[in-house]
Amino acid sequence: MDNEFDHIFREAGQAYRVQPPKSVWRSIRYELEEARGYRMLQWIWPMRLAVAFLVVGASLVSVVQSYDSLEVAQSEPIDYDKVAIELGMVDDDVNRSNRNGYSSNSNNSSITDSKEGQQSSQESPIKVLESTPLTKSKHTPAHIGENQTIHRIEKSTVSVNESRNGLADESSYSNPLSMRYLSLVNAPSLNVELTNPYQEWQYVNVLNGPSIVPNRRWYTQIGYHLGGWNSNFNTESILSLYQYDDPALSYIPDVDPEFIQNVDESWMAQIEIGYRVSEHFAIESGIHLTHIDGSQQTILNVEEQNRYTLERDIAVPSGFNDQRTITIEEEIIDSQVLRDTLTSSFSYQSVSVPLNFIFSARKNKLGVFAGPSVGIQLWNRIETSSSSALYPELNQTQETVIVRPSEMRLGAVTGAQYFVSNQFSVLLDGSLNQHIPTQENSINLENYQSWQVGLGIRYDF
Amino acid sequence: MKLLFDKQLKGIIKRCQNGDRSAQSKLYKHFADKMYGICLRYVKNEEDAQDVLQEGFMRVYRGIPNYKGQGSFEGWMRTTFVRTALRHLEKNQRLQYHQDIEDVDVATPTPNAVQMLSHGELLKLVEALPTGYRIVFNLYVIEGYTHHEIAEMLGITEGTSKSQLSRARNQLKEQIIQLTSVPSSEILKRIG
Repeated sequence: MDNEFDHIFREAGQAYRVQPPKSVWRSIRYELEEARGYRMLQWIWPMRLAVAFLVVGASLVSVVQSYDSLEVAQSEPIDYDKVAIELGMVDDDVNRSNRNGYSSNSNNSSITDSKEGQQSSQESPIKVLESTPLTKSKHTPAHIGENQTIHRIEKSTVSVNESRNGLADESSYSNPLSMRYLSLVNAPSLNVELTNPYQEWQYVNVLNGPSIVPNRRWYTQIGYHLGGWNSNFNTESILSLYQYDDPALSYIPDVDPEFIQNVDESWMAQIEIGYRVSEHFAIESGIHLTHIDGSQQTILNVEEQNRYTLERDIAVPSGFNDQRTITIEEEIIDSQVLRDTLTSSFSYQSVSVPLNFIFSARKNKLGVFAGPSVGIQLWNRIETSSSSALYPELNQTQETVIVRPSEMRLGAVTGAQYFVSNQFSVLLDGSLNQHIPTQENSINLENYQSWQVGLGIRYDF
Repeated sequence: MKLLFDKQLKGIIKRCQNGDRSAQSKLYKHFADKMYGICLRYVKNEEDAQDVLQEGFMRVYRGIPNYKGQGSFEGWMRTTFVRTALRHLEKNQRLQYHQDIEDVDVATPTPNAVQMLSHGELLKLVEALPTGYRIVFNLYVIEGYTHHEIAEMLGITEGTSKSQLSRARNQLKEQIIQLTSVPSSEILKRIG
C-alpha cells in the first residue's frame, strides 16, 4: 500500500512546476557577470571608446581648423589707372576708371614726365598675374623719345571670362551632404559620424574653351546628434571642408584652386522603429528630415580684357613748323588674369525613408550585425544665391528652385556591439551606399558612392 | 513548456560549457519552473526557495564543464538542486530529526481518496510537514534515494531516516483522510 501511496506523491512531485519570478534570472545574470569580472570591463570599454572618440574628434577639429585658416584669396580692388602706369602706358593722373561700369572717359590734359610713371609702377601694389598687352594702333606709333606724354582718353572693359572649377554652376545642385544615420531600434543614441570622400566628373569652363576634366573632390564631415527616447530629434553641428584639385586651372602659375564649403546650420529629425522578426533578424525603418544651410567659397580665375584709348603727345624740336607737339591716338587692349572669390549660399531640405534588414548574432558580450539597406530620399526645396567680390553685378544670382528630385540608395551596413548589459550596448558601425538618381533633375549629377562610420550607444527595451 | 529536443539540449549544454550567456539563459528558461518546484518542496517560504534556485543555477553553470554527458542531464540538475536546498537548510536552520519514535499504525486512505486531491494539493501537504519529515519524504519518495544514501547525505542513521519517513507517511495519511471526509471547498481552505 505504501508503494502505491508513494507512487502518487512521486508523480505529483515529478510533475510539479512553478514559474519563478523574473527577478531571479536578473540576480543570476548579475552574479554571472560579477563572477567573470565583467563589472570591470563594463567601465573599461566605454572609457576606452570615450577616449578614442575624444582623440578622433580633436584630430578632426584640428584638421578642420587648419583648413579654416587657409588663406582664401581675396582679390584686391583693382586700380586700372595704376595698372596702366605699371604697363608704362599712362601717367598717374588720369581719370579713375569706373570699374563697375566697365568704361570711363577721360579728357585730362596734364603732362607728366614718363619717369614719374615708371616710379609709380614700382610702387604699385597690384599683382598682375599675367599681362599680354596687345596693340591696335590707328596710327603707326612714332618713336617715343624723352619729350613725350601719354593721356588716357578712354578705358573700357572688353570682356570678363571667368575660369571656375565648376562648383558654382553645376555643383550647386550637387549634394555632398547626404547623410545616413545609424539605425537604432528603440534606442536613444549619441552618434558621431564621418562621411566619405568621393570623386566625380564635372564640366569645367576653362579659358581655352569647354572641356571635361576630372576633378577629385575630397569631402570630410563630422557631425554628432543626440537622440531622444525611441526617436532621434537632434540639433547638429557639422564641420565640413573640401580639398579641391582642379587640373584645368593648374596651368596658371601661382594659382591654387581651392574650394571651401561650410555648413552654417543643419538639423535632422529622425524617428526609427524596428521589428524583431526573430532572435537574429530585424527590420528597421523610419523617417529622416534634413535641413541644411551653408555656403561655399570658390576661387575663380578671371581674365579681364580692357581697352585703353590713349593720346600720345610727342614734343617736336623747336623751329619745326609752328607745332610744339604731335598728337597720336592709339588703342591698346590689355589682358590680365585676376583672382576672384565667389561666395554661394545654399539651403536644402529633404525627407528620407530608409529600410534596413539587419541580421545579428551575439556571443557573450559581443554582438555583430550586418544587412542590406535601401532608402528613398526626396529633396523638396533648394535655394541658392551667389555673389562675387570683384564683379557682384555680374555674378549675383538668387534662385529658389522648388523641385522634388529624388534618389534611391542601395547599400549595406555592418557593425559590432559591445553589450555592457543586456539592455545597454556600445556600437560601432559602417555603411556603404550607392546613390542612384531616379529623376533627371536629381540633386546629384552622377551616381556616387558614400561610406559612413558611426559610433553610438543603444538601449533596448 | 517548450520541449527541448536532445540535440538542441546538447547544443545548449555545450555552449554553456563555453560560458555562452544566451545558452545559459535558454537553459534557465527551460528548467527554471521545474527546479523552482523542487526548491519549494524543500524550503518552506518562497524567498528562501528563490535563493536556492539562484544558488542552484550558479552551481549548475559552474559545474557544467564537468558534466560529461553520462546519465540524464535533468537528473544531474535535480541532484544539484536537492543538494543546494539541503545545504541551504543546514546553513539557515538547525535540522531536527525526531528519533526513536515508534511507528503508529495509521489507516491508509484509499487510492480514490488520494486521487481526489490534485498534485498541487498533495505537495501542499508535503510542504506542511515538519522539516525533518519533509526532507526525508522528498528524498526517498520523490527523488528516489535509498535510506543509506539519505543517511549519508543528512548525516543521520538509516534508522532515523526510516522513522522520519514513516512519521511523514502517517501524517500525510491522516491529513488526506481528514481532508477527503470534508467538502472540497473546505479542503482548499485548510491547505491554504
